[in-house]
Amino acid sequence: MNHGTIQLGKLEHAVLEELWEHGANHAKGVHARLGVQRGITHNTVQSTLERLYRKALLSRTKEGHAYVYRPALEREAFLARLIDQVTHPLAESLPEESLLSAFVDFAAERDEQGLDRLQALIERKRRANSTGRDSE
Amino acid sequence: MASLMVVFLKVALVGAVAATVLVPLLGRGLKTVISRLPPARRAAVLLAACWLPLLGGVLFAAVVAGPSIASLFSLYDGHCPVGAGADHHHCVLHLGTELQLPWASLWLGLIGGGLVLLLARNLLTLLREYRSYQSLMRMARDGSCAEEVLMLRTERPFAGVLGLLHPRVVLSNGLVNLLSVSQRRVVEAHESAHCARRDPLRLLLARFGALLHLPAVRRVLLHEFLLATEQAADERAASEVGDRLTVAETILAVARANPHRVGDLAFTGSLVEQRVEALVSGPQSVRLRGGLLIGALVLVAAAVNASPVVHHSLESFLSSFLG
Repeated sequence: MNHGTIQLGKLEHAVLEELWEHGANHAKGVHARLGVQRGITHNTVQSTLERLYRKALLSRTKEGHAYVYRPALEREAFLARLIDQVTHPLAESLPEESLLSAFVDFAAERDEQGLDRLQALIERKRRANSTGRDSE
Repeated sequence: MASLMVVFLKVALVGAVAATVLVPLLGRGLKTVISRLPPARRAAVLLAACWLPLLGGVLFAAVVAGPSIASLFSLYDGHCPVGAGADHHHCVLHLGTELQLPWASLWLGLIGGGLVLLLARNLLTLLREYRSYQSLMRMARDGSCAEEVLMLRTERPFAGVLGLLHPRVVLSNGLVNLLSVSQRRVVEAHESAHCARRDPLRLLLARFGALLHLPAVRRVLLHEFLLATEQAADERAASEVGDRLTVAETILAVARANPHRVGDLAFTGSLVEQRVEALVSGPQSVRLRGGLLIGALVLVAAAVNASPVVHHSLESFLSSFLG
């Protein structure tokens, strides 16, 4: 199984969304909901589920003759992992090596004391500005 | 023709290596001047600096090949051994001698091969990253209607710009719920500025251009470039909302929303600290005239190249290297 980076094709993404929304299902059920609507065969849906299982994004249990697939991660956990991956694509990479222009470095560690010092700096400046305006 | 290309490549590689070595030396002197430029101008200068080794190589090849190409069109014959009565030096069009320093080719080959491998490795990494990037973009598109700002349906705080050629602002519900109306306006103005400047594409260009620099120089250059890019977007947001301190406060609010919490070590020297301090201290006032600066540099380069001593020393050096 592959626990590495998350890389999803369009259909893989659609299958995951379907399972997040409607819960565990077997290939036939997923095809009925998704495949018919998209005009794709049962085999395509089956191989997509298999790929997602190999990527460790789905788990499966055998019920009767068919596997029942369910998401290995909740949508929230999946998105958090994807955001981490996009903000810091490699463990050793720098934020400036990401393709993303993020408002702050969401993968950086946060330092409360540093933030408090900056907050105090802003408040001092605000007071100085308002005192300056008052004296005018 | 093939051997001519090899000679050009070798000359360009020598130029690139020379520029790579010179950048840290020049950088120390120019750092103060560059750091005083307004952020948007500073980002442009730093992006050019990222590409300096390649530009240096191309310029070097052009300078060395110039007289030889002129002699091909009978405009000048002083540099070519086949020219009538020429007191020639090195000619890249008519190679008369073999390499005098055989191991020079080996070193240049190793450097060139190393660069090709580095480029291939980075392209593969980029491809992998781009797929994750597309996955996130797809999830953002699915969570949004036709709004200008794409929304990620997650409690995880996130604000950024996704897309290289057609960048879009992406925010998460988790972040939007934490911000006041004015703070959300700052975040959107900041990210819209990134979109307008096509900053993801610039980041990509900087990252690939900087591959030719020494690792320590590359790291500093990319850090300074990212800082300038973020500050340029901060300035745009500040002029849109009309208050620099609101922008500074928003940066702190978003930084506080970051789920990765630690002690006191990580913050010093970070982008957040530098951005907030710059916003509090006021706008940069130093303005260099870009055209004037480039004109002066071109004049200096032309004067140096026109000097017979410099020109012939350069050719003699290359002759011993390239044959």
